[in-house]
Amino acid sequence: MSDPTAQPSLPFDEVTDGAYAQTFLATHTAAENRRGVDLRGRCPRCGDPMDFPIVTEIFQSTVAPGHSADRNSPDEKTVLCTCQADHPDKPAGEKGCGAYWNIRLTRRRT
Amino acid sequence: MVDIAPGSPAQPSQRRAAKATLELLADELPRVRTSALAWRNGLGALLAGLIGFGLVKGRSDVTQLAPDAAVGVGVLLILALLAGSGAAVLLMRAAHGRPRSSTVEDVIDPSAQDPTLAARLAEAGASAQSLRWGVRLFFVCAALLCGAVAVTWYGPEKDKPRIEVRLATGTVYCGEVVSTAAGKLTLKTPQGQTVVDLTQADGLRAVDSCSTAPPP
Repeated sequence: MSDPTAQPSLPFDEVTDGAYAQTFLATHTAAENRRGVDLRGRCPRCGDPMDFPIVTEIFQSTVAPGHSADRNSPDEKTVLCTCQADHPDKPAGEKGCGAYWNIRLTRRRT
Repeated sequence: MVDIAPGSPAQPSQRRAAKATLELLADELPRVRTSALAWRNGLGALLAGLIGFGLVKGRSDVTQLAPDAAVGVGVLLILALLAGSGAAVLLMRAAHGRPRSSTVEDVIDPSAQDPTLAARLAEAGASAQSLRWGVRLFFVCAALLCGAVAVTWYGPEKDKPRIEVRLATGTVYCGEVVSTAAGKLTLKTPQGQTVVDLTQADGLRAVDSCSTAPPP
């Protein structure tokens, strides 16, 4: 039997908003490791808890030399909602509610 | 420490790139393992080929080498053994993981949405690093083995025994023995072959090296 007080889950939608990053950063924690930074917080759209790993390198062959056009700033990373909630209309192979936003990481020397 | 701040407005292409990164991370560990297995098998075959090639031709006995060259070959072989052992351990670690179990607390993070994500990413990163260093060490090992074989093939030969003949007149001959016949001894000296009449010899002894210059 379903919980009558439960909020209906937002449908999946690939959407971004200028306030998403700020909302996420209000709830986030960041843990550095050998490969990058693990972010943990709440999705600014659906409010569900989520984790997002940011890595500096990945095990994969590189693309052809010179293929560097239209690349993000190296400090800017795109974060996706990766919550485990079951959002309606979620396509196969997708995670989260579809929200995405950009954050900027700056390494500070200690 | 990392400072995190809001970035520029996100674009759909950036979402696609971030999603692709997550997908690559999701199956990174199996890809590292598969790659490490292929590298291990390929490098093992290459090493077998190298050793087979070394046995085919050329000098194969270090006792025929000059002492300094023989010591050099020994040092190269020890270094090759160390590098090869390190490469084998690293490649197997990359292909099969550590030969021990981990505590549950080190693998499972109950507060995370994906409790094994951090452990999988750490293992994939460590395995990729082991693979990278294993391949490097293998080629160091191969280079050292080739160096040892090259010194064995082309290194200076050990000096042959020499004989010093002292004649009654006080003249001294020294060199490698070429032949003896009819009371005549033929010596190979730096100046060429010299025939010594043994009936005139006052003394004869084996020496490691010819310290006295042969007579003109």
